[in-house]
Amino acid sequence: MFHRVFQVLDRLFHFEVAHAHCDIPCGIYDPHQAQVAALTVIRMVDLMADLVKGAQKDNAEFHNSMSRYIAVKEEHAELCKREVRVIFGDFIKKEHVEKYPELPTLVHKIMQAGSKARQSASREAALDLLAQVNRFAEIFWEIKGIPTKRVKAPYKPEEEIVYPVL
Amino acid sequence: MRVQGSSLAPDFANGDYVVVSALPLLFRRLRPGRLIVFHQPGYGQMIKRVAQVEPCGKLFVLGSGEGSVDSRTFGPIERRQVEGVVVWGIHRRRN
Repeated sequence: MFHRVFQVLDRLFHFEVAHAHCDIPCGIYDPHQAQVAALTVIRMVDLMADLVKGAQKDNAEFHNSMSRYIAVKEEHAELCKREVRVIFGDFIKKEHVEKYPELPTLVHKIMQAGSKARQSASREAALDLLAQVNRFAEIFWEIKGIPTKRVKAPYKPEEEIVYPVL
Repeated sequence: MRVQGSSLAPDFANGDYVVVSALPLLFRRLRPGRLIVFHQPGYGQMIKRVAQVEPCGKLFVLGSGEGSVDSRTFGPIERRQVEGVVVWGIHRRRN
């Protein structure tokens, strides 16, 4: 009953709001998007390499495809960085860093690897990004108390990816 | 005040109300466990529970959930940031 009374008073007088902040959606974090983004970067590098090896060059089709691959590579390398930043900034707490002291360096490496993947068309750079993100995912799931497994992604580029064993 | 957000669940849910008073601040020292409303730059008025009073007088505040944005995110808060203590919680009827 009191709640109903307060609701009516709130409508009339517009009470101040006390924020019980949590991230929205509350507590939903998953490094999977970062991993898929890293896989996409590798896939785009592969497609770019295939295109260069192909017969058609210096025509509109070639440039159109190449531009699209580069655009997707750019976008997903940045998405990968953003996802890791959000988890590191919002989910990872001081006690996690104390338990996993490699975390700040690892995240910094991911930021750099993501930038390198954007700057170059190197498969090694893209693989490095995935390797760092996979390690990040392993730590993330360890923090959550969930075991992980490494499996080959069931789609191209078929590189190894860390999955939670749920 | 109306509680917005779920970081104090299950004690307080989104849409619950709290009556906040600054009077207890004048007569009593803040102790761990007290629910307080404070102003945090960049976040506005926040409601959290005092988890620890540090020797320097700063307050380490926490929500209940893992996703809570609290002192684990922005560090301990200054005593002067505290605007009041929750003296009455009005909960929505829960089924």
